[in-house]
Amino acid sequence: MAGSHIVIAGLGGLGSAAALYLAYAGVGKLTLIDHDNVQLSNLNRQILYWEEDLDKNKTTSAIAKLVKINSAATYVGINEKISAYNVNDLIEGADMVLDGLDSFSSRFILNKACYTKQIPFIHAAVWGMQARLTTIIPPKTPCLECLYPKEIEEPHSTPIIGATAGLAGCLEALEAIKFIGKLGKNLLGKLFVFNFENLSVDILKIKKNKYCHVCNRRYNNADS
Amino acid sequence: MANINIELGFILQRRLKRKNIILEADTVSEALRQCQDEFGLDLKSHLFFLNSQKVNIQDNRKLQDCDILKVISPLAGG
Repeated sequence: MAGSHIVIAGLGGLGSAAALYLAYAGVGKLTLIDHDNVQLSNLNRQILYWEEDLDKNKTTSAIAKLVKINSAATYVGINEKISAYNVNDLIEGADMVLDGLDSFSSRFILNKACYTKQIPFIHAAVWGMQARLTTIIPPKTPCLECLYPKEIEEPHSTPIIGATAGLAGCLEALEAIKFIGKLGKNLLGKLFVFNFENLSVDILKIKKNKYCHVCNRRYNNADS
Repeated sequence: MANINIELGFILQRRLKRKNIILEADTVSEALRQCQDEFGLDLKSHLFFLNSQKVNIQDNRKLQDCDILKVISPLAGG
């Protein structure tokens, strides 16, 4: 783990929990990306921030806590919004990228960049007491655009019960630790659908979409 | 014609105030079109799984009585 570099895109409820457990696990370098400041409404789930952090930027507040957990790791904070223009630089050199974002538009940008650079990408999303999770290993597995059509209507990102985001963030960290440490089986070509309201879990199979703009080579070539 | 049980995800259950939809259809696409027409299901904004395998709204796979078609909503929050 000490030789690994993991990028966490978005330091909200998912990213906070994932960052904590990756720091505890001994990841060598964590790059943390978020352009927001801490707001009162974040504090139900974004466990890296406390009342004293209100109005401070998230990356600085997060790193202040993480160095107290694992001072041997290197932490890089980037206060930028992910866009098509900066994404390649932001994830350069990463062994894995974790999705802690709150919109599909940003996720699609990140998915495409990860696919192009062949960097494994863990997708998670939450709402209420629902969570979704899958691990994408380019070019082996379906990518995020194979799963969700690009024209998808942007769903609401809140409300979120804090513990739901915490659980999903922990599962992202676990998927990363398994992948880096070559332990167990990752969630490849499968979508975990959690409903914590009635404690049901579905594991649904996903396949590559032959019309995917990101990962179908024939379609990409025709596009360019 | 097959009798199809369409299981709605939790968010849709709340919105449509029902747990499932039972209807007669030959194919996946026909079943989903009925859901759109009769129950106002927005096909562009959901994911569809036939017996736990992802399918799309153009899928013309033949349905059988024992098939389960699951509809879930995407989530965006982080």
